[in-house]
Amino acid sequence: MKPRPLPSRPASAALAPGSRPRPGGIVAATACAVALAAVPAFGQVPVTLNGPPVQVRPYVPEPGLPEITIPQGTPNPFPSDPTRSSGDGSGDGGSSGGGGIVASSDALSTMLGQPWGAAAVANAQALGVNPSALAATCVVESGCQNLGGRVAQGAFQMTPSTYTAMINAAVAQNPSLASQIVPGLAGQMDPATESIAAAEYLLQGTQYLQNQGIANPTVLDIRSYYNFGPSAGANIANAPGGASMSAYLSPTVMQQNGITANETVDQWRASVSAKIGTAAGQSVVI
Amino acid sequence: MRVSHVLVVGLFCGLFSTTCHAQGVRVVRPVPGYMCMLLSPEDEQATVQSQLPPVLAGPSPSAERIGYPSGIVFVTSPLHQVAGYVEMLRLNGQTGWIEANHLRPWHPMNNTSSKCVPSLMSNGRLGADVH
Repeated sequence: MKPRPLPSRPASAALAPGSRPRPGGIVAATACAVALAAVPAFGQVPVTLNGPPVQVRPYVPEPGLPEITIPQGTPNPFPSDPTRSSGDGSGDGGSSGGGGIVASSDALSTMLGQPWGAAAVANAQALGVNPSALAATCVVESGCQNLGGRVAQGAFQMTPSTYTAMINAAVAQNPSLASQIVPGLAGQMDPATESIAAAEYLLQGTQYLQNQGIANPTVLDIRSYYNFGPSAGANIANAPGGASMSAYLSPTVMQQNGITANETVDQWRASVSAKIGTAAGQSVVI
Repeated sequence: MRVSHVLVVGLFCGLFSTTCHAQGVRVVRPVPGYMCMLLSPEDEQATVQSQLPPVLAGPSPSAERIGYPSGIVFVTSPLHQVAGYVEMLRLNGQTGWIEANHLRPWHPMNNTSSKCVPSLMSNGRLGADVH
């Protein structure tokens, strides 16, 4: 049997000139509009702005407008995802392919709260380092404050020799960074400049740990390298959680870093994770 | 060869990384045929990896450089020394050679009677079980 076509109504008939809509149609349309307005669309996710929007820093004055003062610090532009990995101190001593997370973190927000924070983020990215890893470093080292010291100095608490080696290596790797560097050892006390050296150190540490078989080192993994150097760094990153830190560090180093005699690797990891929060489980490199 | 065990566990962790990541590292079993040594005190002070003695693919200064050692070095037991180089096992299971004059006998840093046993870890890598 040949199917009968459904009766169609020409489009012009819907709003034919001079025609009047039926009252029942008006009531129905109004009811639909009210219903749609009262109930949010399914799948629509309300977005609440947390803090002020990212500020644009004007560098060209516009005639006729008053001068605008931008407060120091920049809101965190990276999306926060609470379902991502959080540092709970139960580090596995190197995540064999378990990392790969690059996201926002409490540490990143802390660093971005500094006048130099946005520059540090850009420097980290220029070297292929996760900004949260860099932020976690300054949080642990100095609370992201530009501190002096007898040996280690600055927001990232680098020694002069390490700073010099890393800043040179960073510029060799990415020559575009040279224009942003405060020359000489004075750069060590310029947090934006020191962030370049610190990011390079994290990068080299990552390469070292990868060479030891830790395929995708996390921020927690790299912490022992940054804190204790390459010699103990790999051993601690790969140590069983119940082992004593004193098995890998000399009493002098333990004392200098405030590590108690009976502190286990897991306890040390937990103390680091408590400081850097969600950054702990993230990858060092991007 | 012991390395095959490392690779098998490593492959497992690679495939099921979530499982391996969620659990802390634990010692699976000792790796026979190796013992712990330490880098020299000067090497332990290294702040960048390039200050460490290289691990070479063979017992010769012209051999390919395959990496750098960690502070605790796993060497063959009994010691296998050729032309001033000692055969060692890296944490990733790869064998290499390191200059003998950069090594010293292992001793517990905390002056206890602890022992260091090269061991296979639950993450598939090698590690030092100091107990």
